[in-house]
Amino acid sequence: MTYPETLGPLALVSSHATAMAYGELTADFNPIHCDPDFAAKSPFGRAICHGTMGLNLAIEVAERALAPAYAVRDVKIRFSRPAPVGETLTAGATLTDAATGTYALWVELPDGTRTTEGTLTAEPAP
Amino acid sequence: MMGPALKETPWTFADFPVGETMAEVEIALTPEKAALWASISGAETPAAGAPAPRALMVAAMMETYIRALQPRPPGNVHAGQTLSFHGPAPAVGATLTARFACRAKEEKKGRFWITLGVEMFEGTRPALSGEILSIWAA
Repeated sequence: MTYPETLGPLALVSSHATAMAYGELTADFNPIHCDPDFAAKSPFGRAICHGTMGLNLAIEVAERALAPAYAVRDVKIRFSRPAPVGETLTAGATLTDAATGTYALWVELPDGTRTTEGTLTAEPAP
Repeated sequence: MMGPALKETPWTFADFPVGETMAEVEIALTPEKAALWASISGAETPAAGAPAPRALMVAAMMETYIRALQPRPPGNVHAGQTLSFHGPAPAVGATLTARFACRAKEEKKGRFWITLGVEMFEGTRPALSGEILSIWAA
């Protein structure tokens, strides 16, 4: 068995509705995500997506692509740039070390701006 | 169980006790939550009793993080995250306990950086661990 070279991509069109749904899922109604008027006065200037919504998109696509032989073990990321609500988020990962099952994980906007970057390490499924 | 860390006024940077466990919160990976994540991500909804998607575990971790420390100042920013998944995924319907500890805090350029450690257990079995890096708003 060998690790897949790429995981994904998987896209999600964000909106106020997805922000509210993810807020409901996580009990996180931080106004920076869910209140456009509050967010407009923040340093971001507009509402931004929950960071873990994009991260979870990456974990979701990785889990799907790795199963059933492998599973996600470790993730280490920075939310490097805000993802404005209304943008399409695309998540995926690219194998960087086949010996350790390590991938470069990313979430990006349509213009290529990466909003989440880091590593994901897979392992044989437990 | 320790329970959430509740205050009369919002948690501030000065309040965080470095090195101490701060809260424990239980959460169920309900079929309704699994269906909600599926509706957001476009994934198939797993049946009750099926292995929970790891994304659902991360969403549950975030909910316990929100519930663990209340009230909170508006405008906190989630800046980074580490995660380690342990063993087979819990089933949809399982209940997990999340434990939070303050591992570090630092003021840099007027921003309040806080690192919280999180460990989630199904019974006594570790299911997920990691660190939440936040810029606290006050």
